[in-house]
Amino acid sequence: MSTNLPSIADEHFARARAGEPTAFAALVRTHQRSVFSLALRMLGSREAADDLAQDVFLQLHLNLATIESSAHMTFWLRKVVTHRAIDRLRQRPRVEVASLDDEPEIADVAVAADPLLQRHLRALVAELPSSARAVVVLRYQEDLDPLEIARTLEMPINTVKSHLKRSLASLRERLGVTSPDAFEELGYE
Amino acid sequence: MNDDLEHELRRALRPVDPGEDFTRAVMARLQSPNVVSLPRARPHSRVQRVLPWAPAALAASLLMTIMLTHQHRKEEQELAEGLRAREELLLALRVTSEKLDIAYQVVHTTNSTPM
Amino acid sequence: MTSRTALSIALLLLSPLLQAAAPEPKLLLPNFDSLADKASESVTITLDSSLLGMAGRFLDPNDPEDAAAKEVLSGLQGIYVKSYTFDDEFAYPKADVERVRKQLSSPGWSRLVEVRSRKEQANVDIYISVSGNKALGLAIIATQPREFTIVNIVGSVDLDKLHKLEGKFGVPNLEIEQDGAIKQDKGKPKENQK
Repeated sequence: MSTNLPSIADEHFARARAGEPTAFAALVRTHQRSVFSLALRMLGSREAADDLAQDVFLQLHLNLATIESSAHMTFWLRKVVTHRAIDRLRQRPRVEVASLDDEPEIADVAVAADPLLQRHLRALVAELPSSARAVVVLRYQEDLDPLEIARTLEMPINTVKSHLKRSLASLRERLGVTSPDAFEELGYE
Repeated sequence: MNDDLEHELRRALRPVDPGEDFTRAVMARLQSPNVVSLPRARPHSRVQRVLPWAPAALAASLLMTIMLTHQHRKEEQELAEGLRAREELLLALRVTSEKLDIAYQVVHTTNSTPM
Repeated sequence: MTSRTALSIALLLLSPLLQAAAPEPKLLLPNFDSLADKASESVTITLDSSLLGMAGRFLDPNDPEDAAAKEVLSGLQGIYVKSYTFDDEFAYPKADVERVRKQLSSPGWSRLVEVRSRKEQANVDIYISVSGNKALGLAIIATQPREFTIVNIVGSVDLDKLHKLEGKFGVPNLEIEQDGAIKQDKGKPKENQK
């Protein structure tokens, strides 16, 4: 979530709370990247992520009066999108890993130096159990620390730490990473 | 080694922008007549003139709301406790399987110390 | 005195001994609260039968991990885990770990597997509490230089279902035979531990 210009974010938030549609649109533009990406990494499909992310913003609009500040809204958005994504995952059969063709273009970032490895990693993350997946995505996409993740997911902090430890071990094992030069040895670079 | 993996994870999970179409779609849905909005409150005295039993009915519905809210909170609390218990159960089984796996790995390699 | 009376008296005298011989599958685990400050990571889980029942109601049958857990859950009365990780080596109280190990040398508990891994620098001991043909509980003590873990599972441990967890949680093959007997690796018979 954008924290580069807090004063502008606070201004948009205050005006959106007052009912200005343009201000709310600005809030959406500011946070859509994070909300959509959280949904995408959890659900594994662009269509499902789009649908969930839109629902979350509609829910935000309905609940603006209960949100106290721009910072609180950032926390609220992360919490709602991950909880609802976990609910959706539990309501359907185990999610299929997104096909490589389903990956959206990263238009505003320099082309990744190692696209194959990163696609592989994303596929492996998508195979983690839902709670572990949420912990990993919040840690490495949103850069939250374990305490913040625990608050977002309403999960004991020791459970968060265990999810991180075991997920990294599982990813390492599945990638076959056993040495510092492993990423080179795997032939990805 | 973990640092490399974590670095690659950060790159792999870099956020993706859904684009301007997404913003337009959200705003279009907000302006759609299908979006539910809460009804406005009506003046109390006018209701009372038309419906003399309204205060009693209001009191009864308030009581019902309080009871339902209490019930809802209790259910939410039970839900939270149940989900927490589930998380702990899965974590306990993961820890157990991790330690059993160490034993398995050793038993099936030449480093094991037979009993 | 009739033989029947003599038998009744004998049974009455012996019954405390018989009760003492019955294995106690729930271990007395030390309170490691003082370690929480020293540990970089700690996991303490206490799930008695009512909490296990509650957890079971929230398991999703469509999720493979949840479904596997539900299979194992049936017949269990408690799961107790204490696991601590430290930044320094051997920062945990060995005496407390040994006190737990001593409980597992009582009648009714048998050590199923003892492994010492130089590669993982890990010692893992797996014990099972059996009465007749029925498994009453499982205990695991795992120690590494910077971590120790004690797991105690109480209840009717369904060895077949535990076996079927392979692949779901990475549980190894304990070479459980069809009739429920447990065979150690390499076909060695299970030894009764004193």
